[in-house]
Amino acid sequence: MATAQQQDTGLVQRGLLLLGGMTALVIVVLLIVLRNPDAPPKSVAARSEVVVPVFVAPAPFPAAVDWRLLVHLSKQLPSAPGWEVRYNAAVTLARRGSLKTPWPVLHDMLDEEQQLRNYRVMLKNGQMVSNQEDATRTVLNALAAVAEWHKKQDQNPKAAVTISGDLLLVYQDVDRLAQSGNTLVRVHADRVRQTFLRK
Amino acid sequence: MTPPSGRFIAQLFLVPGMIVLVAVLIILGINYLFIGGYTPEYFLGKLDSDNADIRWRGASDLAQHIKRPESKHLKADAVFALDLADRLRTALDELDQTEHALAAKIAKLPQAEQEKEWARLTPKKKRDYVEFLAAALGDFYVPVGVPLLCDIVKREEAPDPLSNTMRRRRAIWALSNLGAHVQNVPRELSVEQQAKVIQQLQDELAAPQSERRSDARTALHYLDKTKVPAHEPGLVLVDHVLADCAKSQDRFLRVQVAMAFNFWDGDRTEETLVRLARDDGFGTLIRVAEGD
Repeated sequence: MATAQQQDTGLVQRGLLLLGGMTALVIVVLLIVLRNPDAPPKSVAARSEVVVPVFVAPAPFPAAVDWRLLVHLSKQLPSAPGWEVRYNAAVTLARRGSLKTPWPVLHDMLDEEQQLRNYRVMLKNGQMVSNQEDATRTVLNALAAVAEWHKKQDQNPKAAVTISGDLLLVYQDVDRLAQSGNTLVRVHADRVRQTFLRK
Repeated sequence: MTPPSGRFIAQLFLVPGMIVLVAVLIILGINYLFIGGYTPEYFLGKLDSDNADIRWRGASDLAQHIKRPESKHLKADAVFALDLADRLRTALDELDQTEHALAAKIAKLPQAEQEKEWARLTPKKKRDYVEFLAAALGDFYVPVGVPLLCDIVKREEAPDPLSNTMRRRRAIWALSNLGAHVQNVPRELSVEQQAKVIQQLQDELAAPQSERRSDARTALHYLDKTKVPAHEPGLVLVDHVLADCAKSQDRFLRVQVAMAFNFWDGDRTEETLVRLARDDGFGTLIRVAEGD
């Protein structure tokens, strides 16, 4: 009689354990099914809308335009159309070690804020957000290209390379990225600085 | 009532698991010993089958197998690559003829009906087959696919602009893959393997004038420029094709061209890249969704 009771208790315990497991599984499945599909993914940073009161009309043109704000507006807009083409061409030229590498394009690529403006996507609910992952990848690509360009110059000591003003700007960008809040960018930028031509 | 013991529950899974494992091992063993595994003959036989299911099974096997690191011997088989290029050429011609015939057939219908008819009769399987073969040629170390891939990339006009756009983009992607593989030849193939590839291509050059011979000649140029220099007539030069393609109205195609130049060097590479670095975004950004 006592043995039968012990066996029954074992059966009940195992049954309860199974029930607990099933409940946990159901909760996980429900969480997956019912999660909000429109919620921005973790890699997507919400950005404020670009609102610049450039045009006010207290006076006729050109006084109607606040030109200071217009300059500011250029820092709130994505890069000019065709930036995807320019970026890829610039990276390819830099990787080849070309002396015709367009440093202003790489300067644009190394601007983290600019990349957040370039990689903006609209969610299903109409909210505009920046894709942090793509933006960071662009900055890292540019950093890698800058490092590759310098390595190519090292391999070709005959090439007389001068540090132009545009290249100096890129150096400043990399210096700034070496202080970035993004650890990955910071580490890469620090490594790239070791390849620079400046003493 | 006795609750099931742990051993009993384990046996419930273990015994059927062992039976399935033994069966799978027997099948794999038979396949390895008697069928001979995945050889070029196996793939070509499947691709040439009259049965569409077998054809697609062969295509699927090839697509998976050729990307594996242990498939170097397959990727370095110039004759196999040329055989696939022959099939791509035939498939491309057939697709072209079918699309033009279809376009002529529905030309007299009103615009709305034309689109419906095109969607209904479009040769989707032929298109998929062409795109599969083009992608497969990009996985080889031997660049025999260059002339055909460049031919696809150059086609601006087609009865179906959307699928043509998609095909051109995929062809550039395959060209980039191919270029990356060619760059890796000295690192990834042994000296003996490299010599074998060159010998296979030179044997093809001994054949009478044909498109296959022309494919082999272009491939030989990219693997050993001393054997076939760039100034020889009839060669298909990737940098020249990409340079022309860099003027395309399709912005995404220009992005791909800029990337592809990472893998293909030539006398027009630098000037084209400098031009692309000043691109003002002209033309259109044609978005082609999967399934269009």
